[in-house]
Amino acid sequence: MKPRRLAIALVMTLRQLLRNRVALVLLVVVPIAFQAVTLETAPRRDVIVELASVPEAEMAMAPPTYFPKRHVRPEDRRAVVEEPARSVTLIFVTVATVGMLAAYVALTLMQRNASSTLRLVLCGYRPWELLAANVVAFLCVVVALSGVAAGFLLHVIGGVRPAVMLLGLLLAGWVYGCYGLLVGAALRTELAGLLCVVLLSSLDVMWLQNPMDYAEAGARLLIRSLPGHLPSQVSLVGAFEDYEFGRQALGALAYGGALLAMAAVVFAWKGRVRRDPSAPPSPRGEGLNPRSALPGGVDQRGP
Amino acid sequence: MTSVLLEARGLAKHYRRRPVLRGVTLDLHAGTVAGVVGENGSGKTTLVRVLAGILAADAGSVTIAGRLGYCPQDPLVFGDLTVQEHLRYFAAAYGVERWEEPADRLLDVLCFRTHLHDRVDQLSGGTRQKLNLALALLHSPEVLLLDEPYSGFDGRTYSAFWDLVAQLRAAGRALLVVSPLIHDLGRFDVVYEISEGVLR
Repeated sequence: MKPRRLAIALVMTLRQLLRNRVALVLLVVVPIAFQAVTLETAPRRDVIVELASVPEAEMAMAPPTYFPKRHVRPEDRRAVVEEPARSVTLIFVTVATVGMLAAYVALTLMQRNASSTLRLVLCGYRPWELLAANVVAFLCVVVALSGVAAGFLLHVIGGVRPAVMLLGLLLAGWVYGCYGLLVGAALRTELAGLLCVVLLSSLDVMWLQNPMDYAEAGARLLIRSLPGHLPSQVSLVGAFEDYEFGRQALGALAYGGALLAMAAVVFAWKGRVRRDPSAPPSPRGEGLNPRSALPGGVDQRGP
Repeated sequence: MTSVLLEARGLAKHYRRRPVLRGVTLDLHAGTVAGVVGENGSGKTTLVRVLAGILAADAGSVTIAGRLGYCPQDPLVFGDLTVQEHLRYFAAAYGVERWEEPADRLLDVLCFRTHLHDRVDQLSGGTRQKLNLALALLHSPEVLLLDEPYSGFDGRTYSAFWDLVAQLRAAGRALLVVSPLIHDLGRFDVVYEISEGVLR
């Protein structure tokens, strides 16, 4: 690894990102707009929420300090918590927004100028060096995005553990950003990529991870296996409960890492140079001065 | 006899069922400027892309001795970066530490120094093409594959381009230039015509 090359790739990637002013403004405006609309439209009543990441038996047995609002539903004797619908909705909409935007930014980083990026690989960059620059760039966006969104959340609903709530948002950005990288590496057409990002994030975080629906949902294994599950749970636990979140956070990190590994394999496969790499050195080329052929340069080879 | 810097043997390429290259064999010698001509859609660009390693051939092999410079037909550049940033970025890709000096010369030879700090999405098509060519030459490669490198050039730069080619030839580089212009034929040491996937 050559840190200087990596640093230059990162600087160039960030510059391209920062010069897209309209997109940057939208990255701030969109989450706040989503949150504001949710705040105004969500119902003002308390709802029953079953935290998917907490096993039912553990919830029933845990000390009361972990789940201050716990109670047992009389009809099926299941332990659930009761929370304001507005707060619950706001949290899962925020997680969804951060995830969706992170995926979109990552997708754009991969798809935009894909042919020029391939040229850089042909010129000597290793695919993973360019992918690493994209990862760092989208993580910068995720940090800024999560900060803005978490600031709004804290201002409006507070939260039991704000840092954990923020961590959930960061993890949502991480997992969905890596998903965006994978889609961007695999698909060349913008529309197909956009559909993959928007459809999955809408279905997953906007609908299936909605904790108000989860209590009644079927096929829970499917819901738990989707990318938005663990980050949503970290945010919800951070907002309402004092329950441990380490397993969920590590799981989300690993989930994103697996997606990133897949993206790296696909990107390297598509960006490989399709020529015999074992070319022998040129008998004449060895003596060539790199600058000698340009006008004003001195050819040191002699006749 | 000069050494062979690029050797292609039995290259074949199909797009779906349509053969584009059929058993193309080619040697490119040091100090030689070879031209590739042919009708639109005859496979000139496909040949160059296969030689450069961007496209995989269905059959055959390509061996390049030395560094490769590839100038694609359409400028493959980044719209949000400046000319100077491109030179720096590609120098890093090539592993060229001291890139300022060769970059300066290319800016002068190709007459686009005044655009050094301009973003590429604000450049004219001809200036983008100059940058496209400069990026292929930045590391002073032994083998150059240039796919219609002067499209959009003004008369002065077009003339400067051929002067540059002459200097590269004199310095022992091997160049393959795809040209759509019949009046360029006299500038080549060897002319290949590609027709129905066969190089003659």
